[in-house]
Amino acid sequence: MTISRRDFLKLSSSGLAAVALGTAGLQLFWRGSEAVAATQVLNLEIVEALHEMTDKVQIPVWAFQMAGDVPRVPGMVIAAVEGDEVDIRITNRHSVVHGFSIPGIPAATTTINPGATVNIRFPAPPAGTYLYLDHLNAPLNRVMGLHGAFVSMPRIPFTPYSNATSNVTKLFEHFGTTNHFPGNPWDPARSWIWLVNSYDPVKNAQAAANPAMSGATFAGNYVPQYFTISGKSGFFASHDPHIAVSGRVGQPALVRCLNAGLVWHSMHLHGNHVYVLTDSNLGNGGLTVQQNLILVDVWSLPPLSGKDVVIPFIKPPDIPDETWNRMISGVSDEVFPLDFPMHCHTEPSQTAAAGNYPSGLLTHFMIEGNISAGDATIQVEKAELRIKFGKLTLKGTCSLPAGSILEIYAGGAVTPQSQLVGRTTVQVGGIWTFSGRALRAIPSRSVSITAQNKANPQRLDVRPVIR
Amino acid sequence: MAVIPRDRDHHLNEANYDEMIQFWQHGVAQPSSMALMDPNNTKPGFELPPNRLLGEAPSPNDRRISMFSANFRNNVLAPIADPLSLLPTPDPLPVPARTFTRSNVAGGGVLPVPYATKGGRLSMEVWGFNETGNTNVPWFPGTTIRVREGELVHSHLGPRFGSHTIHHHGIEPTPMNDGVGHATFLVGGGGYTYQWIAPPAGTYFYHCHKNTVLHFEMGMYGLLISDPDVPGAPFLDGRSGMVYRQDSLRNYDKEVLWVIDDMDSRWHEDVIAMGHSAGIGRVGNEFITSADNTDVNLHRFDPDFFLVSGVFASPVEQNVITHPAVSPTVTRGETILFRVLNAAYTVVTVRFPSPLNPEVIAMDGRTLGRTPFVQYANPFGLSSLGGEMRLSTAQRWDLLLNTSVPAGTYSVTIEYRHWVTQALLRTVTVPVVITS
Repeated sequence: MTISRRDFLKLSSSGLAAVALGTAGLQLFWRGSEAVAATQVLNLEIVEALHEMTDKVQIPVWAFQMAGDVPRVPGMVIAAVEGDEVDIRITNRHSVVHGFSIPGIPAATTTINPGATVNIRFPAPPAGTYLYLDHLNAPLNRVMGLHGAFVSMPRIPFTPYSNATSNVTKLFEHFGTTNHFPGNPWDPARSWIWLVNSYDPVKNAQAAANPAMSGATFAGNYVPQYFTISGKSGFFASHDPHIAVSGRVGQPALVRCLNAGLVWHSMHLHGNHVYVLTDSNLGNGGLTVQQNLILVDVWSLPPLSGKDVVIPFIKPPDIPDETWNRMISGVSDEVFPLDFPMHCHTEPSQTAAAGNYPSGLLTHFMIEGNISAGDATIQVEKAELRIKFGKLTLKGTCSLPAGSILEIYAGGAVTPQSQLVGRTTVQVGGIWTFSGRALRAIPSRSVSITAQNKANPQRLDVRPVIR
Repeated sequence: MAVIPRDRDHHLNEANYDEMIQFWQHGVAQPSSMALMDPNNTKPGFELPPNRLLGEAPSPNDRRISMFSANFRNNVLAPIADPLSLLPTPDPLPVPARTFTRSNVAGGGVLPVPYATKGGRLSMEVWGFNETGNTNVPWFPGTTIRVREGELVHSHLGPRFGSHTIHHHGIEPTPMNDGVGHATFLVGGGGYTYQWIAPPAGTYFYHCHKNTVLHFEMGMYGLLISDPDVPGAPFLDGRSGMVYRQDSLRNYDKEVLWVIDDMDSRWHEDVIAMGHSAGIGRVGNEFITSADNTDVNLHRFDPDFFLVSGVFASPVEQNVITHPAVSPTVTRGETILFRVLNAAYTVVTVRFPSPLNPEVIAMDGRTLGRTPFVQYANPFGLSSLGGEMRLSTAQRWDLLLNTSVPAGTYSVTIEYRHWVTQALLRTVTVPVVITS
């Protein structure tokens, strides 16, 4: 797979760019490949750039730039499916030695001399959220901008993890199938990334002038003046649809939160409490999928830590029922969308250039309305293919009404060569299962599930466990 | 050299009024309640839309248009003649089970402090909320708002000076009732009544959400507690009551409220001289430069005072706080409910000494193990975390402590660590006294 011109057009019109590596089906990450390019080999360059802050002040940074793309801080999201080969080629266009590493993946660590190009190749790690960074001269090279999110997805993305705990599995089983979570199962396309950092312009200027200054000198008396979330601040972070989270009630969303900077943040969401799913040490790659899923409105994000949270997208619970009924009937005084903030509650991070509230680490959380039939989702929880007999067994959830027919295809349903292997019916409570022969799925080792007649919703390119 | 623009891939057209109105209302021109009462920009004496003259139609993206139905705008808001009227609450429900009224304390108040400030004074100005018309009620921190789960609440703000808001933190109503200036509006003039349902039983708080970095630091906050829907609720601060543990109700004999705060005295003597909107620009000059902000410096927060529930710690007293409102005394075997809020900008670590092993039963107003929403978590003993809990700003944990331990005085310590350097700034000790 190479990057098509069409993919580049999509990249250039999007906020948070991502690249999918290996054989990953794009739809595993972002539906309709919005903001996603796909490639077998990712070519990255380390370059100097200027990062314009919210007040138009330009700060010198060091950035990752994908071939054919623009420099970005943070670097573009790199995504792959667990176990797939990831192939990255990094060229150092800067005057000093740089590093590349993904803590938790020893084979992904290297150093690159000025002008040199280094190749790294490694299998994608257990599903979860990781940080890629220049680990040299810490924390200088990282905080100067050389960092980005690395996302590993499970082969069957029912939850975001390969080894989900029983409570994570239970929570995702409950989305869309219980009274307290009316609506849809989680759709992997509903994923956002909040990768935070800060800048001390004095330090950045010093490092740009003297790139060999020590990390300790850089970190000493560090006084951040700008606070970013996925590279933007204030109004610009709040109005970028790839940072601001939106959707309808009943469409749970995953937000992968990472802190590449030096400030202890305290993330606060209005409108919904969130479930905290993971606790990651982005410095050593330690990833804990939680069993005790606390439901909070504030979650700590210390330097070099990560937390995946899921916003359940329930009706904001303290709206009176009478008001809510008026709203969804279209007769209320206050109208959709319901626009709530997310911000760091360590409020000095809400500033830019020593004031200018609210121009720091914040964004929005938008509830656009009540769920509608057009938002239906199919999810696959278990998928197994026995090579010897071609027996395919599937289990999943779906927000179509009980009695709806689902169709199972070998390979991707949208590809011309796709072939129907069977049908099944959605049961009461949104559960569905399938068991049948699917010899045609053996060559591609992937299946797709759609509503009847290849209609929406579709769950594309699920990769069963092979037995 | 390549420039990464501030609006990469999602362009802001500065020549387009309909886009700029959103930019201004997010920051330098957050609408006040007065603006919302003039939806068509036809009434002198209200508040003009930025860069518009009286009579010019507001942009459809102007919040005075975009947040409301045409019916509410034209039939409820537009007929209001007096700019100092109460802004009508949208979708009003007439009979609240409970009503609160708050005003900001005009011009602030002065607190004595146990040692000299950065400016060499022995007192510090704070701002806060008090109950309107009741000057005898202590107002720093603000009087607790105490409600009963599930009831309809009206919380009225009548500012006496400038504009402010109340964000009831952790309560999740509509945006108009969420009290966030940069997302909706600021309450000025004749005030506003926030309408919401009392949330699941647990610990919440409220604070002003205008220029929040400054107003929250200045002291504009108080606790908000939702008690279970049982006879006798809402309960009294510091007394006995009932609390959920998973799906069961438990009695406690004494409630301890620890609101942990820190203050940088520079903010309370130098910054406030620059007004309530210190550090904020205006339409046409939207950003104040850091050179011009050197007197404001709201990114520099280096606290020199450390408090628990309004009581200052003092090195002269070895930073031990024995004030009875903070340091509890109970009879052995009684059960204490601790509600701990970090209202500081530092990260705090609260450590309970062995053999005290309180059980963490709730976080941020959600009871661990309570069905249906919190069935994916369980309460746990703090000893499983080495006896310590670390809270960053605005986090709340509720703990139940069974005091069937040997009688004595147990020292709970609270460490304050800087939000950037993580340097230990102060360790405060609060004795928990258990008598036989």
